[in-house]
Amino acid sequence: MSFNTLSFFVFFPLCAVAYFRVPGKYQNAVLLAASWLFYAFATPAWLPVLIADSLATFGAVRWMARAEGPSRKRRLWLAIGLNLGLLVGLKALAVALAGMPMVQPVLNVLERIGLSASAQRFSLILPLGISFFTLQAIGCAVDVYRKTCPAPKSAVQFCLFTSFFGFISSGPITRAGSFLPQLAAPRTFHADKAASGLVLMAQGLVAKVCVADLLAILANGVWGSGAGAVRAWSGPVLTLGALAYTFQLYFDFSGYSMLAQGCARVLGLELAQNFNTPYFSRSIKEFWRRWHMSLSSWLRDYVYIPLGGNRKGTVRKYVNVLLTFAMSGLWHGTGFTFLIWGLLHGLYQVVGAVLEPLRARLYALLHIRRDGWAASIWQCCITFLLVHVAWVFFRAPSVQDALYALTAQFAGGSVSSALAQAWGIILSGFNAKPLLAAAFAAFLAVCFAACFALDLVRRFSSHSVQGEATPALMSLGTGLRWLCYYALAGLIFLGFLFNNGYLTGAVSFLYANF
Amino acid sequence: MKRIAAVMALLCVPIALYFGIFLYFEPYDYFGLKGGAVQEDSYITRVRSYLNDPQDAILLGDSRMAHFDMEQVQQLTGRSWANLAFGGASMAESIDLFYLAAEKNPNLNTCYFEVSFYTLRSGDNRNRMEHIQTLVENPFAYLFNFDCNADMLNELLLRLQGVQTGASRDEGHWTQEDYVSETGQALPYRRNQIAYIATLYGAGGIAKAGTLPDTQTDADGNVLNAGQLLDALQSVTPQASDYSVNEENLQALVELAAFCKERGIALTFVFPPVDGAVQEYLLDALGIRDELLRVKQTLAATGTPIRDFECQPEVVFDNELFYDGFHFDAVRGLGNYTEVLFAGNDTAKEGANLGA
Repeated sequence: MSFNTLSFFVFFPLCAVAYFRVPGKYQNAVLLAASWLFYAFATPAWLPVLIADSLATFGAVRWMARAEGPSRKRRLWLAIGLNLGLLVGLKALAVALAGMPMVQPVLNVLERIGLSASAQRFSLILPLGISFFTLQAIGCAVDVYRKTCPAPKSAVQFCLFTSFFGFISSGPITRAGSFLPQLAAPRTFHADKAASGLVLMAQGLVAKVCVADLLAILANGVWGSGAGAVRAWSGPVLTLGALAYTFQLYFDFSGYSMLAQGCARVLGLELAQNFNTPYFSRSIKEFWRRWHMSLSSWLRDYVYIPLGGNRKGTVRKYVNVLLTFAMSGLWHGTGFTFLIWGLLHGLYQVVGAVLEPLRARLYALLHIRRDGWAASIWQCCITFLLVHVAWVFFRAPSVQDALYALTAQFAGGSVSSALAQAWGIILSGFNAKPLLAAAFAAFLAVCFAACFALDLVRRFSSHSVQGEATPALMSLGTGLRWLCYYALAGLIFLGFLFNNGYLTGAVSFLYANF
Repeated sequence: MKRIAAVMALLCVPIALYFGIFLYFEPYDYFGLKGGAVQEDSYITRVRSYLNDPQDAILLGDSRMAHFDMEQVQQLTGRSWANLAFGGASMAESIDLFYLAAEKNPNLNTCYFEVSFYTLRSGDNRNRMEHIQTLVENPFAYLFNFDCNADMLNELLLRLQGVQTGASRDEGHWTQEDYVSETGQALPYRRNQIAYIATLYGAGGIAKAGTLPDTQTDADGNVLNAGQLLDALQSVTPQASDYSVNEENLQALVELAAFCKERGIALTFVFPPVDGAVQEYLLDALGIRDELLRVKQTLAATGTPIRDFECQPEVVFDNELFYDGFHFDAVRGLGNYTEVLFAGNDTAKEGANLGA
């Protein structure tokens, strides 16, 4: 079950009704049961592991909280080791066992119980959200150790903190200090909050279903499904494919985050914002304050700062930045491409810091205001380009493919031939029916423009609150507001149609793979 | 909460209206409410019809099994059949569809299963059964399927224009001119039959690329270089063959035969007829007949009856009865073939049982 499946559209209202109907003291238990049910739909074989990890971490954190000094620190490492061991161990196991030949009856059994993804060769299915709930658990342990957050008192609340269906599959990585206090008091139904949450979910669905999944057709058509597939293309078609992925990833993940935030808000819970118009960033540093904010702040607080941050001199600071981003890369995936992606971002920041005085002098020399609109547009474009280049490594199945994609786009071919090839990719998805393919392209353009406009509102409107467009939408007059509601509903409906009925077997969210 | 529910319900009104229109105009009679489908030969119509009302006798294969007049079949055999064959079906899809049919109807006792050099070629690994099964078993997947919605809108437009809709029939109106090439040379077969072989050559897994020149057609689809194609076909040798049997599918057929024997299902493998042009310029020219013989022997070894009109034809049909190399003319030839295939065959009739 995923947020964009029919089963979730049935599950969520039922869960919300049960949640608000039961007496307040049972709300957390109901939500926890619903979360475990949600988890059981995805990776049922791993549900006992999630429960065991949650309870073990809860016990370890409470045990740690009773100690002081070296003993407290040892118990902290136990809690961290539990989760880090689970995360690293399972990922290493998946890599080690990938493609391992096994007898067919064993493979069939493993596939039936949801542990293997392939009927021919072994391919370990990792627990849903393992990269997220382990980091949350580690974060809680460290916060309790630092005494910035009290130790959780209730096992139910703590298990809900690690298992809540709203954020388990792809975040946002939530802090115990902000989430656990919300669980301490009963929540009542607020129509305005619920409306705001539903509107946010609708925006998320538009981003995911109407933009990301449709861009995926073009991106996957160029990148293909295996190493070397991208070499069938050259020229600007590679640029188009890479750009398609750059926006696909953003709308997929930000769409998911809006869905997560929205459904939590309906239930009276507030999650941290995860995206704040990152492609309008004017520097890589700003980008990481706007992209996957929960992960970047987690890495800052639990990796970068403990490594020494910027407190141990400039060189050490740069090393810490590179190490932190290398870890970020490896968190996303175990291949070299992810490591290079992470290191690239680290390098961008280091080089950016080193060249900062030079840039300042250049602006002064040219008498250009650094915060003026011309400079801002220039900075946004450069930042976008740097991020976009890094995404090529993120998407490519191999380093060679990434380098090929980056270099071969200048190897020849015109924009018109690239557009013709892109049109060919789209047309092949519609059995060569030009009218339908044209409708698809027009629909994608409209939805992309709508999402871009919403991002502009988030970025620049005085009505947007904390980077959300929802308050701006809700502040419109009744007629215009209902028009927006119908427009969102219509776009979502058409998006599902263009995705060929993905209510029932949804295209997964990209970040659920990490 | 009631207010939110009311708002959501209001938002769903246009969607509900749209689905009402969809259900009225959808051409497959998916829910069995209309007493018959407009697109009778679609896999959706046929498999849904079977799921709604399973028959104990089925036909499986591609377009060469898909267009029988089932009323004629019923008259000849004295029983109802479900035709689960559909145009473009691959061997893997037909095999999976068989197992689906057997699963949904424990009383299934007769199956005519098409086997052909074309569906057994290595180049064809398509299997859309997962998608097909989702579509026919999940109404929501059907309601939100893009192609099905496009078909519904197409049907709506045609009806609004007053166009008679329904399954098309392969029916040709040939004259002597169809036997004359672009240079005035007399052709042994019709131009469209020669062009059809060229299409088969380019299908992948039949002949090496570039064996024949490209087929040139006018705006109406009439072939313009039949003579050139014929010249090229006459010089083809087995060295141009790219054909090999899909051994996995062949083994799956052997397993299917064993399954039928175990379950008491009277299975018959049918090698459907091809016209003389295909026999001469494809099966013989590329040496595919030898491979086909091996396939036939493998299947015969399972003890399953075989009706062979392709490899060692038990009946040779006149070329005039064919619309193109693979398909009978719906008026001239199809009824003829139906009689040959179904009449006087004990396994086709009620109650036939090969025994467990």
